[in-house]
Amino acid sequence: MFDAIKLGRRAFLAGAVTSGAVALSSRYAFAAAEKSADAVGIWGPPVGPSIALAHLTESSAIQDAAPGSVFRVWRTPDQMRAGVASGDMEITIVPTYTGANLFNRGLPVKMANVMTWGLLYMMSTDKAVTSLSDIGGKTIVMPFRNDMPDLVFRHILGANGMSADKDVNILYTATPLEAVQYLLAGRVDTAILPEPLATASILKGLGASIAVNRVLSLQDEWGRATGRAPFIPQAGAVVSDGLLARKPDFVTTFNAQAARSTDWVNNNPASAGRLAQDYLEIAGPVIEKSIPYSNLRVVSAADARADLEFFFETLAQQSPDIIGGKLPADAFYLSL
Amino acid sequence: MGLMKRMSGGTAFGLGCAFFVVLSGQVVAQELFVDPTVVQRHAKGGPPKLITPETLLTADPMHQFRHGALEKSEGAEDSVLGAKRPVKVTTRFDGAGDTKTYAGQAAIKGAEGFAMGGYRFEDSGSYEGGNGEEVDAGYRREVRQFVTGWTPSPLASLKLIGIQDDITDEKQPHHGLDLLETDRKVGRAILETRNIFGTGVDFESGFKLIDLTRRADNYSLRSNSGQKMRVAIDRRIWEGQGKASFDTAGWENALTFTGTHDNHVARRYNVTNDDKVNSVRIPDVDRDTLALNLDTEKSFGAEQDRTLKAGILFERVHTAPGAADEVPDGGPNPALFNISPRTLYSSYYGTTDLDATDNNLSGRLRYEQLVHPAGLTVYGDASRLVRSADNIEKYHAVSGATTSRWVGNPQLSAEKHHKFEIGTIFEDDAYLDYQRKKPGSGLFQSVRLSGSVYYDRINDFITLDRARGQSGVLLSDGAYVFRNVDANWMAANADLQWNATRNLSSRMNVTWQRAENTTDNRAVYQVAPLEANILVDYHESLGSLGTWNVGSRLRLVADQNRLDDDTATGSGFDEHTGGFGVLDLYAGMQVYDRMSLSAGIDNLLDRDYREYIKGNHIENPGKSTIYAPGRAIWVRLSGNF
Repeated sequence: MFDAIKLGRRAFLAGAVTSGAVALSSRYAFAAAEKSADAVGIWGPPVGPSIALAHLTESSAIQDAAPGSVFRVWRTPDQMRAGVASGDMEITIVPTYTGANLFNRGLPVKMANVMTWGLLYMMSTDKAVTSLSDIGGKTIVMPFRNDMPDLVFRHILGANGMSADKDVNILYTATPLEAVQYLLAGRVDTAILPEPLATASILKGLGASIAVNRVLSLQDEWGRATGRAPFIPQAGAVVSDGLLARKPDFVTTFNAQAARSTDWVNNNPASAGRLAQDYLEIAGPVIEKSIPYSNLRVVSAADARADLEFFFETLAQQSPDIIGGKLPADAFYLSL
Repeated sequence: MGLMKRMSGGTAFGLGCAFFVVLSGQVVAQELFVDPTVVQRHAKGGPPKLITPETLLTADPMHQFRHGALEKSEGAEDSVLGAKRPVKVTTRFDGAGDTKTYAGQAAIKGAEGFAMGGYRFEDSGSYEGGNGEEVDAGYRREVRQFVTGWTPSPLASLKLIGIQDDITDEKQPHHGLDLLETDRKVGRAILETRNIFGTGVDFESGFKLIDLTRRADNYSLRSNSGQKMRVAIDRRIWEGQGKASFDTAGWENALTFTGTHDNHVARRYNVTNDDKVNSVRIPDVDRDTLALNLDTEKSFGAEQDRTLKAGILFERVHTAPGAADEVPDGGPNPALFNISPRTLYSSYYGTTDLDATDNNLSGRLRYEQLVHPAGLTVYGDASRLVRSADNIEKYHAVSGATTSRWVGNPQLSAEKHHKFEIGTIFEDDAYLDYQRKKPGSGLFQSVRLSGSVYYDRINDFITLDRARGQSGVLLSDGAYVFRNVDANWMAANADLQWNATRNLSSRMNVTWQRAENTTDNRAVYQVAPLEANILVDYHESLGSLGTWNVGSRLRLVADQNRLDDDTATGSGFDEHTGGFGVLDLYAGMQVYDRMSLSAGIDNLLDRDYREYIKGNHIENPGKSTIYAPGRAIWVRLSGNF
């Protein structure tokens, strides 16, 4: 089309326009793909497991089963509760105990799977802190009083012969981000943080000439304290009854693809970081470095039931309200 | 010891770009708003750009006979070479010249410091041009880099940077000499302190040393039964800079002071005649520059959507040749060769006062307005940039046969650019970057369109010319000379980026420029012709393993019919080369963000073409154009640890 040595200005412009037109010619095919009534509302908070859902919604398996489905982020518990109640969030990642709570309070949801097996870490700027035995008398900053991390930490302390009320001073913050700020501002030297904020505290510390160390994994301590595997079934996907009625086969497809997408995230942390940047608006390097610590693994709710019930019972011993006062009924655990 | 222990610990982390401020024109200021170095001698030759830590792994092998205004997309391998991992390696083979490239980079970072080391090796040979003929090219290049820093607190840091870029045995098929060695060493130290004594003033100071050694001859890499000559060029530049940044009444200000000393010497030797000097090409020139710069910036409006930037720069540039009276004694024809620089300057320009001092005043004003809610930014930019003649323009003293003489003009006036630019940038909300689209957005909701036009009225444009007894030139012997003329320069650029889906993107870029020597009423030489580049890229996940991509680049270059190709009326620098279109295809895949394989075919249709802008690794206006490589494959394997 373009003569090598005699391309005049007219031919040049013609070639440029033609090539541009070729690039534009496939537009209708894409437009059709984006306009589908079969789309499923898939949501999650800005944390590691949600990256798998972002990848999942871009997969051909999901786009074939539910064309036009897009992953969206919820940023506050109120937004999540409203979305679940209205049915807009047909699938969403929630903390597992929140899923139990929603179910026990009568909201039309079921647990499809567990996607992360623990995101909690103790971070410290004090090089002398290397184990639980080093935190006696210290102030530990913790996001949210009586929330799951607080209850897990208290349980771990108890199992190690320590009291959260006597042996340490826990300073609660309104948000996890505030806990990071306390740590980096030097107001405290030790914090309990979830991923990806634990990794973010390390990277932010590097920029501020502050060495933030990952002292210990609460998952490991949980395993030691309970005699079980070193994992906490922390979060997973709940599915609305409306979706189960509207597309009964979709959840099986969803769980299978979630497992593949989770493998992709674990195997490709840098690519996952870039994907997270687009969906979660979190810096890619933070996600990339946090993925190895996010314990991402998909297990169906039915298969994870024993771990979930043990987890719920342990939490409920300290705060029954966190799961809505009782263990969820059989129907809560979807068998897929 | 404590620092190293901490750096080698679990916080080892790939370094960000913050310390890759290595080789920008300034020592400490990444970018000066008023920066005359953005305008250089037109059609200047010299060593290729230094390879920086940022491009050590990803840069294409150097090639002075193949250009392109738009880089290909990096594709899937970007997540391997861009991953935050401490060690990265890459190796590449290019069919054009059977070029082998090996590169590696290791980096660690801790709270109180960081360090990075890198190495790159390229080995290239002759290649087949699109016309089927072999081009006798080739070179070897070794790059060594280290960057280290001490960051004891957020308020202070010290960075040390060292780079050696050594190119050897670089054949120059378009010229009479080959480059045996181009060795550049760059050392740089930067001290940054913030909020000094609680005043809110940040201060950066730095020192930079550049050492250049070039050696060329006409016999080591080619057969030569005639006169054997060699050239030795040595240049050393010391630069110190201090920059204070402070706010006053909402204005962000930066006051920068720069001092530079540059020593530059080059001689040509007649090897056949006992290696005696036969031309004092650069007569031991000392160039001292003092510069004071003030930049300021403020955003206005409730949404800070209007920004005004202004800057002023005063430079005092003093130049003096130390060996202007040295008379070569090795010329094959003493009457033509054994002439001192002073005699050459005097013969061609009547100049006897060789020292020169320029007092240059530059300034710039820029206004940007963000238009809500359209996502549209419009801007206007007006500037006056004053550039003193460089050492070649002022003091080059190549003796010899008259038509191959090249004589600088010590009394050239500084070049004064008066440039007016307007431009606009439109970005959809869903546009994040090329090949990055906000999820859930529609087909045409991720578009970026930008365009700009400028007009530059240049007083005392320094042009290359032939001695014809024109105003200011005393001889008419056809030697290359430099003169001040007036010129107009106009240019336009448009760029469209469209992410049709989250997988499929396309980009089109068009550049045009036109320059006229208004004193002589002729086209300015070596002005790039109209060029368009079109990228189409597709990328996708690869099961649970990784990602892959395919793409194409179509490069269209129009015929340049505004030539300065007549030695009787102009410089004769230009050569008609014709328009052309070149299509490149490429693809890549990576697994686990740890290893990638990329490959491509450049010049798929095996077009025979020559770039209009001549290969510029060597200084000489008498170069010819050379055919670019024909169809050639390339393969690259990269990994990280």
